[in-house]
Amino acid sequence: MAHSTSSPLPVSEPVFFILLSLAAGRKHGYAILKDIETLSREAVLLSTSTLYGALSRLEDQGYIRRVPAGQPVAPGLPRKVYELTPQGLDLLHGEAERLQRLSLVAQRYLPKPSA
Amino acid sequence: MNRTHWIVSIHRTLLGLFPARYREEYGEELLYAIQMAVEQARSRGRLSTLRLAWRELRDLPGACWRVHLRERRGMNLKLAPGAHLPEGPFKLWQLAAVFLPFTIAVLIVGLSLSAGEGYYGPVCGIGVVLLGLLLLVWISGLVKTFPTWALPSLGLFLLIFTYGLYLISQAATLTALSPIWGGFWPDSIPLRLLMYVWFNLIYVVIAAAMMLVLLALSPQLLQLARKDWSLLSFFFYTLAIPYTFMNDEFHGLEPYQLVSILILTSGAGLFIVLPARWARLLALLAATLLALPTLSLGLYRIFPFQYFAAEVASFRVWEALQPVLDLPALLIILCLPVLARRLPASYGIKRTHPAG
Repeated sequence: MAHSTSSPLPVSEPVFFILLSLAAGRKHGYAILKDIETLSREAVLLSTSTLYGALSRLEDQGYIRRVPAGQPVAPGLPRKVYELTPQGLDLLHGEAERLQRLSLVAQRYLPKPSA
Repeated sequence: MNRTHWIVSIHRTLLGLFPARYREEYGEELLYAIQMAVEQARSRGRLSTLRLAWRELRDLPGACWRVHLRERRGMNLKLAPGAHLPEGPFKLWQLAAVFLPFTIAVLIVGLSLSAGEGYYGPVCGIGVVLLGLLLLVWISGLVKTFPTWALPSLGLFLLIFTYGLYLISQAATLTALSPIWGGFWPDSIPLRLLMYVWFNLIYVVIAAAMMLVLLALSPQLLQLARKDWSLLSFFFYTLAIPYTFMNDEFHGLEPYQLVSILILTSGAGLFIVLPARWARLLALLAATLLALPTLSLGLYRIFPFQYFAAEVASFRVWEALQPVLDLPALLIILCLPVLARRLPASYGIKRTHPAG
């Protein structure tokens, strides 16, 4: 599928991991930060300012939203958590498909490393 | 004692560099996240803490700059003319089209001021160009079926019919009733005012009928009115312009006319930047409410300097009242589009397509 020039794809690596982390369920900011470290096997280490900059942008764009945490939270813990919107899920699927296509092409055309 | 770590303290201080909205929305959460990250890094050792500090301090200026930039862009977008209207924010030529009827009005006053002066010719030349542009906006406005930027000019087009019909009905009423009081107008001021109540009613009925016919004929305009009724008020707004040229037998009224047109222009300017429909309607109502009494004030002040003043001195108040006498009708006409929301879903002429 070809994307128009206004398509949000490709997304940056931090954004991809933020969306991927939220695809598994609602989380607060620090939980997302830790999740990204795990998902990327510590290849992507975000600073809190980069994380919150990306979260606020994604929220403005309607890909994620902030909702009150379901159960009473412990003192000091954020009272709001982030969740993926349907548009955010579409964006994530779109990016995953794009990466998969790239990976397939690379696998087909890259010469096998000699033993 | 549980002391705040220096990385958290620096962050708390530097958070002041971020826009207020961002600080209020995310500040607390961000500090919680940095606090947790510091605690985890400290449990891993000094090197891990230093790495975290480096990462955090390295990214902070860039993140702060990007948030500011986004905030500014959002703000500019919100304040951009037409940002809250269909086809907005307006490009420069669309903005020029919005203000075209008001520019022409200013030019007409300019023509009146420049009569007998050396620059009458150039002013006329500019007038011809502007009238050509008006024609162009009319045509493109009708071809593109009522785009927002063409509404004031198309309203001016509508005005020719609405105001024309109104003047004809006014003249017909006065002619029919003139044998009763032996003149075109009755001598009694209260009776004249009563006549104006009747004229206001006629004006509202004509405008309402015109609106219903237009909405029935143009599904696009109907759709636009259903989406945002305030656009129809904007369409009717230019009906206030001809009042600034009434009483042309008076001399010295031009400054008041100019101020009156500028007030109307400001109303249009506010309309295209305000986000809420009711606020937009209020801007149009307020401008109309200010513009026409400004003319009345002008007429009252310049009346004694007119050549006929000595003969009809008792009519000073009556003459000054002229511009505001249709004000109730104008205000009601501007509010009429609110009712467009209540039109039944089946309203409008249905286009039938041949089967197959």
